[in-house]
Amino acid sequence: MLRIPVQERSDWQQTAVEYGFKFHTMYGEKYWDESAYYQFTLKQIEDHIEDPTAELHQMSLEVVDRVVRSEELMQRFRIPERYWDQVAGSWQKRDPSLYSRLDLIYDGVGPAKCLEFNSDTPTSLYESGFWSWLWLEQMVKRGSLPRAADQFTSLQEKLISRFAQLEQAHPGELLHLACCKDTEEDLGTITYLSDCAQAAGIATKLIFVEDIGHGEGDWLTDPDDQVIRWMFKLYPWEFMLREEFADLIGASDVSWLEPIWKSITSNKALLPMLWKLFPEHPNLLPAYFEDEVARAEESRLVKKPIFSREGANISILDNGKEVLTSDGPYGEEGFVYQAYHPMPQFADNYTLVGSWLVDDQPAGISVREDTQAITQDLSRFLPHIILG
Amino acid sequence: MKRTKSIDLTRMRKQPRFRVTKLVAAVAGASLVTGCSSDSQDAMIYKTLQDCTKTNPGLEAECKAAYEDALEEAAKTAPKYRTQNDCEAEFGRCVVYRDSSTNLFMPLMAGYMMARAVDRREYDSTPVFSGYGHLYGGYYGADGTRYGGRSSAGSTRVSVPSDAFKPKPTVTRTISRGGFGSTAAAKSSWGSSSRSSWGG
Repeated sequence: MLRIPVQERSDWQQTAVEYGFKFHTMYGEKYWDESAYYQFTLKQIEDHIEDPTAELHQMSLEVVDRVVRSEELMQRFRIPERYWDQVAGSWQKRDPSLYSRLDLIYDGVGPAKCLEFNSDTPTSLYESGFWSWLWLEQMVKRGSLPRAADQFTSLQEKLISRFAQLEQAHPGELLHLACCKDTEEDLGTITYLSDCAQAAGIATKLIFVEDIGHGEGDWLTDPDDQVIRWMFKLYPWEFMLREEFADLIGASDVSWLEPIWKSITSNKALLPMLWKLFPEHPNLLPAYFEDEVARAEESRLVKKPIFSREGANISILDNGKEVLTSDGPYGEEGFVYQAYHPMPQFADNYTLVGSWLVDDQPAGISVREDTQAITQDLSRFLPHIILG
Repeated sequence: MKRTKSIDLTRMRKQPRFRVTKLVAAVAGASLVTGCSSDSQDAMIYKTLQDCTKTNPGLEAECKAAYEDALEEAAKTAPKYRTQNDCEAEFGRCVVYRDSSTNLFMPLMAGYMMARAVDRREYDSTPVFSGYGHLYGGYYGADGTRYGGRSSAGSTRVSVPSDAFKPKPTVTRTISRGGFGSTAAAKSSWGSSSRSSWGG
Protein backbone atom coordinates (compact mmCIF):
# COMPACT_ATOMS: atom_id res chain seq x y z
CA MET A 1 0.00 0.00 0.00
CA LEU A 2 1.64 3.16 -1.26
CA ARG A 3 0.62 6.77 -1.70
CA ILE A 4 1.91 8.00 -5.03
CA PRO A 5 1.72 11.65 -6.10
CA VAL A 6 0.57 12.04 -9.70
CA GLN A 7 -0.30 14.74 -12.22
CA GLU A 8 -3.99 15.62 -12.18
CA ARG A 9 -5.88 15.27 -15.44
CA SER A 10 -5.88 18.78 -16.86
CA ASP A 11 -9.54 18.53 -17.90
CA TRP A 12 -11.03 16.72 -14.93
CA GLN A 13 -13.18 19.67 -13.81
CA GLN A 14 -14.74 19.83 -17.28
CA THR A 15 -15.31 16.10 -17.21
CA ALA A 16 -17.00 16.50 -13.82
CA VAL A 17 -19.43 19.01 -15.34
CA GLU A 18 -20.13 16.68 -18.24
CA TYR A 19 -21.00 13.80 -15.91
CA GLY A 20 -22.84 15.88 -13.34
CA PHE A 21 -20.35 15.32 -10.51
CA LYS A 22 -21.00 18.49 -8.56
CA PHE A 23 -19.65 17.98 -5.09
CA HIS A 24 -15.97 17.49 -5.93
CA THR A 25 -15.32 20.75 -4.08
CA MET A 26 -17.34 21.63 -0.99
CA TYR A 27 -17.32 24.80 1.05
CA GLY A 28 -14.22 25.88 -0.81
CA GLU A 29 -12.36 22.73 0.18
CA LYS A 30 -11.16 19.99 -2.08
CA TYR A 31 -13.14 16.77 -1.70
CA TRP A 32 -12.11 14.85 -4.82
CA ASP A 33 -8.31 14.84 -4.79
CA GLU A 34 -6.44 13.25 -7.69
CA SER A 35 -3.05 14.81 -6.87
CA ALA A 36 -2.11 11.37 -5.55
CA TYR A 37 -3.46 7.82 -5.60
CA TYR A 38 -3.07 4.78 -3.40
CA GLN A 39 -1.57 1.63 -4.81
CA PHE A 40 -2.46 -1.81 -3.43
CA THR A 41 -1.33 -5.28 -4.40
CA LEU A 42 -3.96 -7.81 -5.44
CA LYS A 43 -3.10 -9.87 -2.39
CA GLN A 44 -3.70 -6.90 -0.10
CA ILE A 45 -7.06 -6.26 -1.73
CA GLU A 46 -8.25 -9.86 -1.76
CA ASP A 47 -6.77 -11.29 1.44
CA HIS A 48 -6.72 -8.23 3.68
CA ILE A 49 -9.83 -6.37 2.58
CA GLU A 50 -12.22 -8.33 0.39
CA ASP A 51 -12.37 -11.58 2.38
CA PRO A 52 -12.56 -9.92 5.82
CA THR A 53 -15.29 -7.62 4.49
CA ALA A 54 -17.46 -10.56 3.46
CA GLU A 55 -16.84 -12.19 6.82
CA LEU A 56 -17.51 -9.05 8.87
CA HIS A 57 -20.76 -8.61 7.00
CA GLN A 58 -21.87 -12.16 7.83
CA MET A 59 -20.90 -11.55 11.45
CA SER A 60 -23.05 -8.42 11.52
CA LEU A 61 -26.01 -10.49 10.30
CA GLU A 62 -25.49 -12.86 13.20
CA VAL A 63 -25.79 -9.90 15.51
CA VAL A 64 -29.08 -8.94 13.85
CA ASP A 65 -30.33 -12.47 14.41
CA ARG A 66 -29.50 -12.20 18.13
CA VAL A 67 -30.85 -8.71 18.64
CA VAL A 68 -34.29 -9.30 17.11
CA ARG A 69 -34.83 -12.19 19.56
CA SER A 70 -34.01 -10.18 22.65
CA GLU A 71 -35.97 -7.32 24.18
CA GLU A 72 -32.96 -6.39 26.26
CA LEU A 73 -30.82 -6.01 23.15
CA MET A 74 -33.50 -4.12 21.22
CA GLN A 75 -33.44 -1.77 24.17
CA ARG A 76 -29.66 -1.46 24.07
CA PHE A 77 -29.84 -0.66 20.36
CA ARG A 78 -32.36 2.09 21.18
CA ILE A 79 -34.97 0.77 18.78
CA PRO A 80 -38.26 2.33 19.92
CA GLU A 81 -40.37 -0.43 21.50
CA ARG A 82 -43.40 0.07 19.28
CA TYR A 83 -41.29 -0.92 16.23
CA TRP A 84 -39.63 -4.02 17.66
CA ASP A 85 -42.03 -6.40 15.90
CA GLN A 86 -41.56 -4.61 12.64
CA VAL A 87 -37.78 -4.77 12.81
CA ALA A 88 -37.89 -8.43 13.81
CA GLY A 89 -40.45 -9.25 11.11
CA SER A 90 -38.37 -7.56 8.45
CA TRP A 91 -35.39 -9.70 9.45
CA GLN A 92 -37.43 -12.92 9.67
CA LYS A 93 -38.72 -12.31 6.14
CA ARG A 94 -35.13 -11.49 5.12
CA ASP A 95 -36.27 -8.30 3.42
CA PRO A 96 -33.64 -7.77 0.72
CA SER A 97 -30.87 -5.23 1.17
CA LEU A 98 -29.00 -3.19 -1.40
CA TYR A 99 -25.60 -2.01 -0.22
CA SER A 100 -23.32 -1.13 2.71
CA ARG A 101 -19.89 0.22 3.49
CA LEU A 102 -17.51 -0.79 6.27
CA ASP A 103 -14.79 1.60 7.37
CA LEU A 104 -11.47 -0.12 7.94
CA ILE A 105 -8.18 0.96 9.45
CA TYR A 106 -5.63 -0.65 7.19
CA ASP A 107 -1.95 0.11 6.71
CA GLY A 108 -1.03 -2.46 4.07
CA VAL A 109 0.43 -4.89 6.57
CA GLY A 110 -1.56 -5.81 9.65
CA PRO A 111 -5.09 -7.16 9.63
CA ALA A 112 -7.64 -4.49 8.72
CA LYS A 113 -9.56 -3.32 11.78
CA CYS A 114 -13.22 -2.56 11.40
CA LEU A 115 -13.98 0.92 12.69
CA GLU A 116 -17.65 0.99 11.85
CA PHE A 117 -20.49 -0.14 9.61
CA ASN A 118 -22.48 2.21 7.40
CA SER A 119 -25.16 -0.13 6.26
CA ASP A 120 -28.22 2.10 6.13
CA THR A 121 -27.28 5.31 4.31
CA PRO A 122 -23.73 5.13 2.97
CA THR A 123 -22.60 7.96 0.71
CA SER A 124 -19.52 8.51 -1.48
CA LEU A 125 -21.05 5.83 -3.69
CA TYR A 126 -20.81 7.73 -6.97
CA GLU A 127 -17.16 8.61 -6.45
CA SER A 128 -16.40 4.98 -5.62
CA GLY A 129 -18.54 3.24 -8.22
CA PHE A 130 -18.15 5.54 -11.18
CA TRP A 131 -15.94 8.60 -10.86
CA SER A 132 -12.82 6.72 -9.68
CA TRP A 133 -13.43 4.10 -12.36
CA LEU A 134 -13.48 6.83 -15.01
CA TRP A 135 -10.26 8.31 -13.60
CA LEU A 136 -8.44 4.98 -14.05
CA GLU A 137 -9.92 4.49 -17.51
CA GLN A 138 -8.65 7.89 -18.66
CA MET A 139 -5.30 7.68 -16.87
CA VAL A 140 -4.52 4.38 -18.59
CA LYS A 141 -5.75 5.62 -21.96
CA ARG A 142 -3.49 8.68 -21.72
CA GLY A 143 -0.48 6.62 -20.75
CA SER A 144 -0.24 8.09 -17.24
CA LEU A 145 -0.74 4.67 -15.68
CA PRO A 146 0.30 1.21 -16.91
CA ARG A 147 -2.22 -1.00 -18.73
CA ALA A 148 -1.87 -3.61 -16.02
CA ALA A 149 -3.34 -1.24 -13.43
CA ASP A 150 -6.64 -2.47 -12.05
CA GLN A 151 -8.97 -1.12 -9.37
CA PHE A 152 -11.30 -2.69 -6.82
CA THR A 153 -14.46 -1.01 -8.07
CA SER A 154 -17.13 -3.47 -9.15
CA LEU A 155 -19.88 -1.44 -7.46
CA GLN A 156 -21.69 -0.27 -10.56
CA GLU A 157 -21.78 -3.70 -12.17
CA LYS A 158 -22.98 -5.29 -8.94
CA LEU A 159 -25.57 -2.60 -8.20
CA ILE A 160 -27.11 -3.03 -11.64
CA SER A 161 -27.32 -6.79 -11.31
CA ARG A 162 -28.69 -6.46 -7.76
CA PHE A 163 -31.40 -4.11 -9.04
CA ALA A 164 -32.21 -6.57 -11.81
CA GLN A 165 -32.66 -9.23 -9.12
CA LEU A 166 -34.84 -7.00 -6.97
CA GLU A 167 -36.97 -6.10 -9.97
CA GLN A 168 -38.17 -9.72 -10.14
CA ALA A 169 -40.21 -9.11 -7.00
CA HIS A 170 -41.48 -5.75 -8.32
CA PRO A 171 -42.25 -6.24 -12.01
CA GLY A 172 -43.23 -2.97 -13.65
CA GLU A 173 -43.23 -1.16 -10.31
CA LEU A 174 -41.94 2.38 -9.93
CA LEU A 175 -38.99 2.80 -7.55
CA HIS A 176 -39.03 6.07 -5.62
CA LEU A 177 -35.65 7.33 -4.39
CA ALA A 178 -35.65 9.93 -1.64
CA CYS A 179 -33.09 12.19 0.01
CA CYS A 180 -33.18 15.41 2.01
CA LYS A 181 -33.40 18.84 0.43
CA ASP A 182 -30.37 21.10 0.10
CA THR A 183 -27.70 18.47 -0.10
CA GLU A 184 -25.97 18.17 -3.42
CA GLU A 185 -24.06 15.14 -2.20
CA ASP A 186 -27.10 13.11 -1.16
CA LEU A 187 -28.91 14.06 -4.36
CA GLY A 188 -25.84 12.88 -6.27
CA THR A 189 -26.01 9.55 -4.47
CA ILE A 190 -29.66 8.85 -5.22
CA THR A 191 -29.24 10.05 -8.80
CA TYR A 192 -26.47 7.50 -9.20
CA LEU A 193 -28.62 4.74 -7.70
CA SER A 194 -31.43 5.80 -10.01
CA ASP A 195 -29.07 5.51 -13.00
CA CYS A 196 -28.14 1.98 -11.90
CA ALA A 197 -31.79 1.00 -11.34
CA GLN A 198 -32.76 2.34 -14.77
CA ALA A 199 -29.93 0.38 -16.34
CA ALA A 200 -31.59 -2.68 -14.80
CA GLY A 201 -34.90 -1.76 -16.44
CA ILE A 202 -36.58 -0.18 -13.42
CA ALA A 203 -38.62 3.00 -13.73
CA THR A 204 -37.55 5.53 -11.10
CA LYS A 205 -38.62 8.83 -9.62
CA LEU A 206 -36.55 11.07 -7.35
CA ILE A 207 -38.28 12.88 -4.50
CA PHE A 208 -37.33 14.71 -1.33
CA VAL A 209 -37.87 13.13 2.08
CA GLU A 210 -39.55 16.33 3.32
CA ASP A 211 -42.14 16.15 0.51
CA ILE A 212 -43.40 12.66 1.34
CA GLY A 213 -47.11 12.76 2.13
CA HIS A 214 -49.57 10.83 4.25
CA GLY A 215 -52.18 9.66 1.77
CA GLU A 216 -55.73 8.67 2.65
CA GLY A 217 -55.89 4.96 3.22
CA ASP A 218 -52.63 5.20 5.21
CA TRP A 219 -50.38 5.27 2.20
CA LEU A 220 -47.24 7.29 1.71
CA THR A 221 -47.49 9.55 -1.33
CA ASP A 222 -45.11 11.49 -3.53
CA PRO A 223 -45.60 15.14 -4.55
CA ASP A 224 -47.91 14.03 -7.39
CA ASP A 225 -50.18 12.12 -4.95
CA GLN A 226 -48.90 8.90 -6.39
CA VAL A 227 -48.79 6.06 -3.88
CA ILE A 228 -45.26 4.95 -2.94
CA ARG A 229 -44.89 1.17 -3.06
CA TRP A 230 -41.16 0.69 -3.31
CA MET A 231 -38.64 3.20 -2.03
CA PHE A 232 -34.96 3.72 -1.49
CA LYS A 233 -34.45 6.33 1.22
CA LEU A 234 -31.13 7.98 1.90
CA TYR A 235 -32.40 8.93 5.33
CA PRO A 236 -31.51 7.06 8.51
CA TRP A 237 -33.97 4.64 10.07
CA GLU A 238 -33.13 5.99 13.52
CA PHE A 239 -34.48 9.38 12.41
CA MET A 240 -37.56 7.98 10.65
CA LEU A 241 -38.61 5.92 13.67
CA ARG A 242 -38.76 9.09 15.77
CA GLU A 243 -40.71 11.30 13.38
CA GLU A 244 -44.36 12.11 12.83
CA PHE A 245 -44.96 9.59 10.03
CA ALA A 246 -43.20 6.73 11.84
CA ASP A 247 -46.42 4.73 12.28
CA LEU A 248 -47.04 4.88 8.53
CA ILE A 249 -43.83 2.93 7.91
CA GLY A 250 -45.63 -0.28 8.76
CA ALA A 251 -49.17 0.71 7.79
CA SER A 252 -48.26 1.87 4.29
CA ASP A 253 -46.81 -1.46 3.20
CA VAL A 254 -43.86 0.06 1.33
CA SER A 255 -40.98 -2.21 0.32
CA TRP A 256 -38.03 -0.32 1.74
CA LEU A 257 -34.44 -0.12 0.62
CA GLU A 258 -32.61 -0.39 2.90
CA PRO A 259 -34.93 -2.67 4.91
CA ILE A 260 -35.80 -1.68 8.46
CA TRP A 261 -33.68 -4.47 9.98
CA LYS A 262 -30.69 -2.36 8.99
CA SER A 263 -31.55 -0.11 11.93
CA ILE A 264 -29.55 -2.77 13.82
CA THR A 265 -26.46 -3.02 11.60
CA SER A 266 -26.16 0.75 11.10
CA ASN A 267 -26.18 1.30 14.84
CA LYS A 268 -22.92 1.75 16.77
CA ALA A 269 -24.20 -0.70 19.39
CA LEU A 270 -23.27 -3.27 16.76
CA LEU A 271 -19.60 -2.82 17.69
CA PRO A 272 -19.76 -4.09 21.31
CA MET A 273 -22.14 -6.85 20.20
CA LEU A 274 -19.68 -8.05 17.56
CA TRP A 275 -16.91 -8.12 20.13
CA LYS A 276 -19.12 -10.18 22.47
CA LEU A 277 -20.02 -12.71 19.79
CA PHE A 278 -16.61 -12.84 18.12
CA PRO A 279 -14.06 -11.93 20.81
CA GLU A 280 -10.48 -11.55 19.64
CA HIS A 281 -11.48 -11.63 15.99
CA PRO A 282 -8.47 -10.23 14.09
CA ASN A 283 -10.58 -7.68 12.19
CA LEU A 284 -12.42 -6.34 15.22
CA LEU A 285 -11.41 -3.82 17.83
CA PRO A 286 -12.52 -4.45 21.42
CA ALA A 287 -15.72 -2.52 22.09
CA TYR A 288 -17.97 -1.98 25.08
CA PHE A 289 -21.38 -0.70 26.03
CA GLU A 290 -21.44 2.26 28.38
CA ASP A 291 -22.19 0.13 31.47
CA GLU A 292 -19.37 -2.28 30.68
CA VAL A 293 -16.61 0.19 30.01
CA ALA A 294 -15.09 -0.38 33.46
CA ARG A 295 -14.07 -3.81 32.20
CA ALA A 296 -12.02 -2.33 29.37
CA GLU A 297 -8.33 -3.10 29.70
CA GLU A 298 -7.28 -0.60 27.06
CA SER A 299 -6.01 2.74 28.30
CA ARG A 300 -7.06 4.54 25.13
CA LEU A 301 -10.67 4.39 24.07
CA VAL A 302 -12.81 6.09 21.47
CA LYS A 303 -16.22 7.18 22.65
CA LYS A 304 -18.87 7.19 19.92
CA PRO A 305 -22.57 8.07 20.02
CA ILE A 306 -24.90 5.13 19.29
CA PHE A 307 -26.35 7.24 16.49
CA SER A 308 -24.07 9.59 14.65
CA ARG A 309 -23.01 10.60 11.19
CA GLU A 310 -19.77 11.69 9.59
CA GLY A 311 -17.50 11.52 12.63
CA ALA A 312 -19.58 13.85 14.79
CA ASN A 313 -19.46 13.81 18.61
CA ILE A 314 -16.53 11.43 18.86
CA SER A 315 -13.97 11.66 21.68
CA ILE A 316 -10.65 9.97 22.20
CA LEU A 317 -10.12 9.11 25.88
CA ASP A 318 -6.75 8.54 27.48
CA ASN A 319 -7.25 6.77 30.82
CA GLY A 320 -10.72 8.26 30.94
CA LYS A 321 -9.59 11.78 30.03
CA GLU A 322 -10.66 13.39 26.77
CA VAL A 323 -7.66 14.21 24.60
CA LEU A 324 -9.39 14.88 21.30
CA THR A 325 -13.01 15.51 20.54
CA SER A 326 -15.27 16.45 17.64
CA ASP A 327 -18.49 18.43 18.02
CA GLY A 328 -21.86 17.56 16.75
CA PRO A 329 -25.56 17.27 17.49
CA TYR A 330 -25.53 13.59 18.50
CA GLY A 331 -25.22 11.57 21.65
CA GLU A 332 -28.56 11.85 23.44
CA GLU A 333 -29.24 8.10 23.00
CA GLY A 334 -25.99 7.11 24.70
CA PHE A 335 -22.51 6.01 23.67
CA VAL A 336 -20.35 2.98 23.01
CA TYR A 337 -16.61 2.67 23.53
CA GLN A 338 -14.11 1.18 21.12
CA ALA A 339 -10.42 0.48 21.69
CA TYR A 340 -8.29 3.17 20.09
CA HIS A 341 -6.31 1.98 17.11
CA PRO A 342 -3.94 4.41 15.40
CA MET A 343 -4.76 5.26 11.81
CA PRO A 344 -1.92 4.85 9.35
CA GLN A 345 -0.35 8.04 8.11
CA PHE A 346 0.70 8.60 4.54
CA ALA A 347 2.43 11.93 3.80
CA ASP A 348 0.97 13.48 6.98
CA ASN A 349 -2.53 12.33 6.20
CA TYR A 350 -4.65 9.93 8.21
CA THR A 351 -5.99 7.34 5.81
CA LEU A 352 -9.23 5.37 6.05
CA VAL A 353 -10.37 2.59 3.72
CA GLY A 354 -14.08 2.25 2.96
CA SER A 355 -15.03 -1.26 1.87
CA TRP A 356 -18.24 -1.66 -0.09
CA LEU A 357 -20.72 -4.49 -0.30
CA VAL A 358 -23.67 -4.97 -2.61
CA ASP A 359 -26.01 -7.20 -0.64
CA ASP A 360 -23.45 -9.63 0.82
CA GLN A 361 -20.78 -9.36 -1.87
CA PRO A 362 -17.68 -7.19 -1.48
CA ALA A 363 -17.79 -4.68 -4.33
CA GLY A 364 -14.87 -2.30 -4.07
CA ILE A 365 -13.06 0.17 -1.88
CA SER A 366 -12.69 3.89 -1.45
CA VAL A 367 -9.85 5.77 0.22
CA ARG A 368 -10.37 8.89 2.27
CA GLU A 369 -7.75 11.12 3.83
CA ASP A 370 -7.97 13.65 6.59
CA THR A 371 -5.45 15.85 8.30
CA GLN A 372 -7.24 15.01 11.58
CA ALA A 373 -7.33 11.64 13.33
CA ILE A 374 -11.13 11.68 13.35
CA THR A 375 -12.29 11.34 9.76
CA GLN A 376 -14.99 13.90 9.26
CA ASP A 377 -17.15 15.17 6.51
CA LEU A 378 -14.41 17.37 5.10
CA SER A 379 -12.02 14.53 4.44
CA ARG A 380 -10.77 14.11 0.89
CA PHE A 381 -11.51 11.23 -1.46
CA LEU A 382 -8.53 9.79 -3.39
CA PRO A 383 -8.48 7.24 -6.20
CA HIS A 384 -6.63 3.93 -5.94
CA ILE A 385 -5.19 1.28 -8.21
CA ILE A 386 -4.20 -2.37 -7.91
CA LEU A 387 -0.78 -3.23 -9.31
CA GLY A 388 1.19 -6.38 -8.67
CA MET B 1 -10.34 -7.89 -13.17
CA LYS B 2 -11.60 -6.35 -9.93
CA ARG B 3 -13.45 -3.46 -11.51
CA THR B 4 -16.66 -3.04 -13.49
CA LYS B 5 -15.94 -4.38 -16.96
CA SER B 6 -17.62 -1.68 -18.93
CA ILE B 7 -19.83 1.30 -18.29
CA ASP B 8 -22.15 2.89 -20.81
CA LEU B 9 -20.76 6.41 -20.64
CA THR B 10 -23.55 8.00 -22.63
CA ARG B 11 -25.95 6.83 -19.94
CA MET B 12 -23.78 8.40 -17.25
CA ARG B 13 -23.47 11.80 -18.94
CA LYS B 14 -25.76 14.43 -17.48
CA GLN B 15 -27.22 17.48 -19.10
CA PRO B 16 -25.33 20.44 -17.68
CA ARG B 17 -28.60 22.23 -17.06
CA PHE B 18 -29.96 19.56 -14.69
CA ARG B 19 -31.41 21.51 -11.78
CA VAL B 20 -32.55 20.50 -8.32
CA THR B 21 -35.81 22.39 -8.58
CA LYS B 22 -36.84 20.40 -11.64
CA LEU B 23 -36.09 17.20 -9.84
CA VAL B 24 -39.29 15.27 -10.25
CA ALA B 25 -40.05 16.23 -13.80
CA ALA B 26 -36.51 15.78 -14.99
CA VAL B 27 -36.00 12.21 -13.90
CA ALA B 28 -39.43 10.66 -13.78
CA GLY B 29 -39.27 7.03 -14.81
CA ALA B 30 -39.32 6.31 -18.46
CA SER B 31 -41.81 3.48 -18.59
CA LEU B 32 -44.56 5.36 -16.79
CA VAL B 33 -44.42 8.41 -18.98
CA THR B 34 -47.25 8.23 -21.45
CA GLY B 35 -48.36 10.15 -24.45
CA CYS B 36 -45.22 10.26 -26.56
CA SER B 37 -45.95 7.11 -28.44
CA SER B 38 -47.29 7.36 -31.96
CA ASP B 39 -48.05 3.64 -32.17
CA SER B 40 -51.63 2.67 -31.71
CA GLN B 41 -53.50 -0.59 -31.42
CA ASP B 42 -57.05 -1.83 -31.71
CA ALA B 43 -58.88 -2.77 -28.56
CA MET B 44 -62.43 -3.58 -27.50
CA ILE B 45 -64.34 -1.93 -24.70
CA TYR B 46 -66.99 -4.11 -23.04
CA LYS B 47 -69.56 -2.74 -20.66
CA THR B 48 -70.08 -6.05 -18.88
CA LEU B 49 -68.60 -9.52 -18.68
CA GLN B 50 -71.58 -10.80 -20.70
CA ASP B 51 -70.85 -8.31 -23.47
CA CYS B 52 -67.39 -9.81 -23.75
CA THR B 53 -68.45 -13.45 -23.76
CA LYS B 54 -71.24 -12.72 -26.24
CA THR B 55 -68.76 -11.18 -28.68
CA ASN B 56 -66.05 -13.80 -28.06
CA PRO B 57 -67.53 -17.28 -27.79
CA GLY B 58 -64.92 -19.68 -26.47
CA LEU B 59 -63.08 -16.96 -24.58
CA GLU B 60 -65.18 -17.10 -21.43
CA ALA B 61 -62.20 -17.68 -19.13
CA GLU B 62 -60.19 -14.88 -20.76
CA CYS B 63 -63.13 -12.47 -20.54
CA LYS B 64 -63.60 -13.28 -16.88
CA ALA B 65 -59.91 -12.90 -16.01
CA ALA B 66 -59.73 -9.59 -17.89
CA TYR B 67 -62.83 -8.34 -16.10
CA GLU B 68 -61.49 -9.27 -12.67
CA ASP B 69 -58.08 -7.73 -13.37
CA ALA B 70 -59.75 -4.52 -14.48
CA LEU B 71 -61.91 -4.41 -11.37
CA GLU B 72 -58.87 -4.79 -9.14
CA GLU B 73 -56.93 -2.23 -11.14
CA ALA B 74 -59.82 0.24 -10.93
CA ALA B 75 -59.72 0.26 -7.12
CA LYS B 76 -56.04 1.07 -7.16
CA THR B 77 -55.68 3.55 -9.97
CA ALA B 78 -59.05 5.30 -10.42
CA PRO B 79 -59.03 8.99 -9.53
CA LYS B 80 -60.06 9.56 -5.90
CA TYR B 81 -62.28 12.42 -4.74
CA ARG B 82 -62.90 13.96 -1.34
CA THR B 83 -66.67 14.27 -1.90
CA GLN B 84 -69.25 12.34 -3.87
CA ASN B 85 -70.27 15.57 -5.61
CA ASP B 86 -66.78 16.24 -6.92
CA CYS B 87 -66.59 12.72 -8.24
CA GLU B 88 -70.04 12.77 -9.82
CA ALA B 89 -69.32 16.07 -11.54
CA GLU B 90 -66.73 14.29 -13.68
CA PHE B 91 -67.91 10.69 -13.80
CA GLY B 92 -71.61 10.63 -13.05
CA ARG B 93 -71.75 7.43 -11.02
CA CYS B 94 -69.39 7.05 -8.09
CA VAL B 95 -68.77 4.64 -5.23
CA VAL B 96 -67.00 4.76 -1.89
CA TYR B 97 -63.34 3.79 -2.16
CA ARG B 98 -62.14 0.87 0.00
CA ASP B 99 -64.07 1.39 3.19
CA SER B 100 -66.09 4.30 4.44
CA SER B 101 -63.44 5.28 6.99
CA THR B 102 -61.30 6.78 4.26
CA ASN B 103 -64.15 9.02 3.03
CA LEU B 104 -63.00 8.93 -0.54
CA PHE B 105 -65.01 8.44 -3.68
CA MET B 106 -64.05 6.97 -7.00
CA PRO B 107 -65.94 6.50 -10.27
CA LEU B 108 -67.78 3.25 -10.85
CA MET B 109 -66.05 1.14 -13.49
CA ALA B 110 -68.13 1.62 -16.63
CA GLY B 111 -66.55 -1.27 -18.46
CA TYR B 112 -63.19 -2.67 -19.36
CA MET B 113 -60.92 -2.46 -22.31
CA MET B 114 -59.28 -5.59 -23.61
CA ALA B 115 -56.79 -6.43 -26.34
CA ARG B 116 -54.60 -9.33 -27.26
CA ALA B 117 -51.16 -8.63 -25.91
CA VAL B 118 -48.42 -8.19 -28.48
CA ASP B 119 -46.13 -11.26 -28.69
CA ARG B 120 -48.26 -13.21 -26.26
CA ARG B 121 -51.35 -15.36 -26.27
CA GLU B 122 -52.73 -13.55 -23.23
CA TYR B 123 -55.05 -10.56 -23.10
CA ASP B 124 -54.35 -7.18 -21.55
CA SER B 125 -57.12 -5.38 -19.79
CA THR B 126 -57.67 -2.07 -18.07
CA PRO B 127 -60.71 -0.39 -16.49
CA VAL B 128 -62.59 2.38 -18.29
CA PHE B 129 -64.79 5.06 -16.78
CA SER B 130 -67.65 6.93 -18.33
CA GLY B 131 -67.26 10.71 -18.36
CA TYR B 132 -69.85 13.24 -17.22
CA GLY B 133 -70.03 17.02 -17.27
CA HIS B 134 -67.13 18.34 -19.34
CA LEU B 135 -66.04 14.74 -19.95
CA TYR B 136 -69.51 13.71 -21.14
CA GLY B 137 -69.80 11.13 -23.87
CA GLY B 138 -66.38 9.52 -23.61
CA TYR B 139 -64.69 6.46 -22.18
CA TYR B 140 -61.67 7.36 -20.07
CA GLY B 141 -58.78 5.50 -18.49
CA ALA B 142 -57.72 5.93 -14.85
CA ASP B 143 -55.13 8.55 -15.82
CA GLY B 144 -57.68 10.61 -17.76
CA THR B 145 -56.78 9.42 -21.26
CA ARG B 146 -59.80 9.42 -23.55
CA TYR B 147 -60.14 6.05 -25.27
CA GLY B 148 -63.13 6.79 -27.46
CA GLY B 149 -66.77 7.81 -27.58
CA ARG B 150 -69.31 6.01 -25.47
CA SER B 151 -71.89 4.07 -27.40
CA SER B 152 -75.13 2.43 -26.44
CA ALA B 153 -73.81 -0.91 -27.67
CA GLY B 154 -72.31 -3.34 -25.16
CA SER B 155 -69.06 -3.52 -27.07
CA THR B 156 -67.12 -0.74 -28.80
CA ARG B 157 -64.06 -1.04 -31.02
CA VAL B 158 -61.47 1.66 -30.30
CA SER B 159 -58.01 2.57 -31.46
CA VAL B 160 -55.79 3.44 -28.51
CA PRO B 161 -52.12 4.27 -27.91
CA SER B 162 -49.98 1.16 -27.56
CA ASP B 163 -49.15 2.12 -23.98
CA ALA B 164 -52.80 2.25 -22.93
CA PHE B 165 -52.42 -1.03 -21.02
CA LYS B 166 -49.30 -0.03 -19.14
CA PRO B 167 -49.95 0.01 -15.39
CA LYS B 168 -51.20 3.37 -14.13
CA PRO B 169 -49.81 4.87 -10.95
CA THR B 170 -51.86 4.25 -7.85
CA VAL B 171 -53.11 7.59 -6.57
CA THR B 172 -54.76 8.81 -3.44
CA ARG B 173 -55.42 12.14 -1.75
CA THR B 174 -52.62 13.40 0.44
CA ILE B 175 -53.74 14.51 3.90
CA SER B 176 -50.48 16.08 5.05
CA ARG B 177 -46.81 16.33 4.16
CA GLY B 178 -43.62 16.94 6.07
CA GLY B 179 -43.86 14.03 8.51
CA PHE B 180 -40.36 12.91 7.63
CA GLY B 181 -37.24 15.04 7.70
CA SER B 182 -37.65 16.88 11.00
CA THR B 183 -34.63 15.25 12.66
CA ALA B 184 -32.37 16.31 9.82
CA ALA B 185 -33.78 19.83 9.97
CA ALA B 186 -33.19 20.03 13.72
CA LYS B 187 -29.67 18.68 13.51
CA SER B 188 -28.62 20.84 10.59
CA SER B 189 -29.28 23.98 12.61
CA TRP B 190 -26.24 22.90 14.62
CA GLY B 191 -23.62 24.94 12.80
CA SER B 192 -20.31 23.55 11.63
CA SER B 193 -18.28 23.06 8.52
CA SER B 194 -20.58 20.14 7.77
CA ARG B 195 -21.38 19.48 4.17
CA SER B 196 -24.77 18.38 5.45
CA SER B 197 -25.09 14.90 4.11
CA TRP B 198 -27.52 12.65 5.98
CA GLY B 199 -25.70 9.63 4.76
CA GLY B 200 -22.29 8.75 6.07
